[in-house]
Amino acid sequence: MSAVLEVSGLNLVLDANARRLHVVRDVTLDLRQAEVLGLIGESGSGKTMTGLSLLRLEPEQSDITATTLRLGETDLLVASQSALRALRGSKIAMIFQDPVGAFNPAKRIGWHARQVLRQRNITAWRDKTHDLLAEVDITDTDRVLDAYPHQLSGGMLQRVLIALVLAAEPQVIIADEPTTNLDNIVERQILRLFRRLKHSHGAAFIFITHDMTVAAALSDRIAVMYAGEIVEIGPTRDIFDVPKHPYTIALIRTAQALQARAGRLPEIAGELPSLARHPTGCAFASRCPHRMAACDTTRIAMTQTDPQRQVRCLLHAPA
Amino acid sequence: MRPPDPPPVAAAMKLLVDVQNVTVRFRRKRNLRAMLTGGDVTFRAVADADLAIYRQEVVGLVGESGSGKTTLGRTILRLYEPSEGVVVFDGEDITHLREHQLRRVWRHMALVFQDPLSSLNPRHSIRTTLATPLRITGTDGAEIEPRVIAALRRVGLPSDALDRYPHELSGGQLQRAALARALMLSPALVIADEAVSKLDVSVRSQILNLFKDLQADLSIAFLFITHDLHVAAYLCDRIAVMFFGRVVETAPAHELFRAPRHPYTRALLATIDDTAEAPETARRGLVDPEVRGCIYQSQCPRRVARCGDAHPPTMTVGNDHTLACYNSG
Amino acid sequence: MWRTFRSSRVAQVGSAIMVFTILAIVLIRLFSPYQPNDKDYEAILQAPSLQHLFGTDSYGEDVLTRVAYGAEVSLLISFSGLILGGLIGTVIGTICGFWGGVVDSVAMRFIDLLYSFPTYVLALCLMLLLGYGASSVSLAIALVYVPNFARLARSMTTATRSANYIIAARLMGQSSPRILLREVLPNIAAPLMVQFSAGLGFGIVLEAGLSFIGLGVQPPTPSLGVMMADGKDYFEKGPWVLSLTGLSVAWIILGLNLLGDGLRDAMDPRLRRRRS
Repeated sequence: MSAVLEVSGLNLVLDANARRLHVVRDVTLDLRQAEVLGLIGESGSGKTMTGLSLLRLEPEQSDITATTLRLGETDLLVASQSALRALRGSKIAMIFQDPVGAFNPAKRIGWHARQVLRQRNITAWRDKTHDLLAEVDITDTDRVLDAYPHQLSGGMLQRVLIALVLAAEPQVIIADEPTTNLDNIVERQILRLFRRLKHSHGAAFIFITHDMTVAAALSDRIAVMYAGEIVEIGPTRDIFDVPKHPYTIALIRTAQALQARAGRLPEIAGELPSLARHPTGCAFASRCPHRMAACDTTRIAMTQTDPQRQVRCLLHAPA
Repeated sequence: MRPPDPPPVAAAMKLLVDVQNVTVRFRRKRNLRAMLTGGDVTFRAVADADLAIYRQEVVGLVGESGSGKTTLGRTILRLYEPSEGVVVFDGEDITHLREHQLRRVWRHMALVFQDPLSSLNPRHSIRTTLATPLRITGTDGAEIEPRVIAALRRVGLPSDALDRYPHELSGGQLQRAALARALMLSPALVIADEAVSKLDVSVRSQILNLFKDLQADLSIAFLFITHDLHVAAYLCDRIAVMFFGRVVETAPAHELFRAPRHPYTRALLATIDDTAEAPETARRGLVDPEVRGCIYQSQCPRRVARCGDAHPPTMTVGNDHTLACYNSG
Repeated sequence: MWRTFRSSRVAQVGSAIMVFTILAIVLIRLFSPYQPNDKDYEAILQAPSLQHLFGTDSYGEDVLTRVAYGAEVSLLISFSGLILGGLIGTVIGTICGFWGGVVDSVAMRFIDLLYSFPTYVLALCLMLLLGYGASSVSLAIALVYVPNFARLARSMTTATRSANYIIAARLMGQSSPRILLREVLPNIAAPLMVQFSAGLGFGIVLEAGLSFIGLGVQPPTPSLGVMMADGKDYFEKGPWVLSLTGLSVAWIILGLNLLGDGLRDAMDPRLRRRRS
């Protein structure tokens, strides 16, 4: 399958108060058609910044570099601002954690739908909206269209946002923690919705989340991020069956132990390294049970362990 | 049914918190329509809730956002005053105590917040924060430093954290510090309000283990308020489920997970089953918090005629298992 | 905080100006061959020269010496006025903000009333009531600043009151006055201090204005306002008296304002560095 989004060697350095924070380090991934890639990481792992960089919505005071950053035929690194604006929404779109921010609070939902569909030159917007909302399981369309954003629940608003994003039929949708603020039951419903949309639309998704179980439920492939780097990437099933990076192993083991209500949870000792002080070697070394001398001194590259999988760890590096 | 039949183990234990028929109303922001129509200017955050916590027991209060679980927790602390019902703490009716009377009661209670950074005064070092409760209670000056250091050790913080300020600590360290403060006066009850939900995955298990250790080492009762069923199942002896201000079911944790009775509990538990494609049980109607009849009726797949008449009374349906449902099957 | 303050260019310039000014005042007081009220009728209205760097006025008094003494008087008046106004305003504001209720409503309406008077009208009324003189000017500055501080302190206290760490302090059993003093005040001190430093400059302007129209400090006490009032009478014959005194006022206010800006930046937590 061909890649709709190609990223290699992506770096993002933020200029924060005279300090330079290297928040995304050498990220390489490609997204194939009709695929869901789960991007997993904790806060500060650079997963959101990676997502924003793919839309070229990185913060203003920052330097973005990459060997390749290509959406279909378009090189996103050199594309003009107006070209990027045209791409966003039509070819590549983003769904945020907080759907409220995506709506103008003073306008009804119907107004937003009209705006989106007008760009697509659809005049019979009410009929079309009906179909779109039906697709995200909203049946009382008229009531929803006449409502203001604050009158809808978070789950309902997220559904509407997903419907409006899908209206443009983008090739790539980046969803940044779209269910984190929602209640468990609603979260399940939205995840189920995503799973269905993945089949019915040809779009490729990048699903950013901190929750292993959410990623597992949805993704074809998983990329695990730690301190700005992708430390492991591969098919979801394989990674859950045989995780290779010690961080991935610890994350999965922790999640499973909590679900199994085991006596004592396995801990990952220590804390995330500060962004300002990224170690020379492996960022996870200080917390790793398999730490070796070489981990602290060498810059660790991705190792291809089998055709589908890569891992950034000396344990799996060729001798 | 109040208090519910104590469980076999709990029978030996004394009732620490007894919440009876508590309703908490808040004043709604006044708007023109309410003034013109003379509509209700209050809304009900907690409705007719019962909850018992025994000494040294670990109780989970589970519900989704807006279910009133935080309000109920803070009502037990008497940060809110109930408009109806009674709150009894350690045999004393504290329902309508004034703040100066509550200070005596508060020495035996503590609250751990969701966001530890906001719960620590940014201008105080950890040393000051931990020493303050001791100073207020008139602890001998020479005793303070060793007790502060002991508290720090108990939560697994290095002693160089003493002279740090909240913004210099990481999320996990902050929650440890907040926990150390909560334990400073050896309270009988600690209420933890979503105390791990903001923490990073890799740090969360550290704090959960810490809670487990503290439960084992100290004779403290815990009330864990959480929306995370895994966390509740892991930490708690008994779980109470809330929906829109009502406690709909309480049961020992293992029993609740094995055999949930309330349709809402069932829908909630279905969400944590990753493998099974749980059937779409919940209907997606709107919940009217002031509805006559059962609060869950608009969502309920098992609704019967009676559900529209009055909210079902809380009944004891098993050993330490209570339920508010007409048609639990 | 101090590191941000020290690394801020604005704060550096402001501090430099104020250090220079205060040093100059001290040095002139110690080493100037003239006293502020030494009249020398042989040398009236002399243009600036090496003997008299700022020239002399219509009584032959050395303008530079008088500016130094006057600046000290003006600074002291402004400073004491702000201390008084700041204290009263902060006490009223924090109490109203913390407890709310009837006391809050009544006190704050009164503060609003005070606030709605134009500054100079308020000051003038007070001067007429209290009589002229340095202490009256101080009181006038205090009165003008009470509502400023009260409103600021109240809004900050209201915002802080519901913070989680205040709830935690209550649950710890701390009494309300203790919470106000130990938990709330340290967190609202920063903006109040910024208000204070910004107010110092305005206090000097107010003093100069009142003295200029003859209602403030009375001659022969040298204050910057008094000197400017004198200077305007013979501006044509000796323009340096008014202009150099005026420039000195501008200089001090520039210094105080830059200092205030630097302080504000340093106390803004968003600009502060995280030291982890």
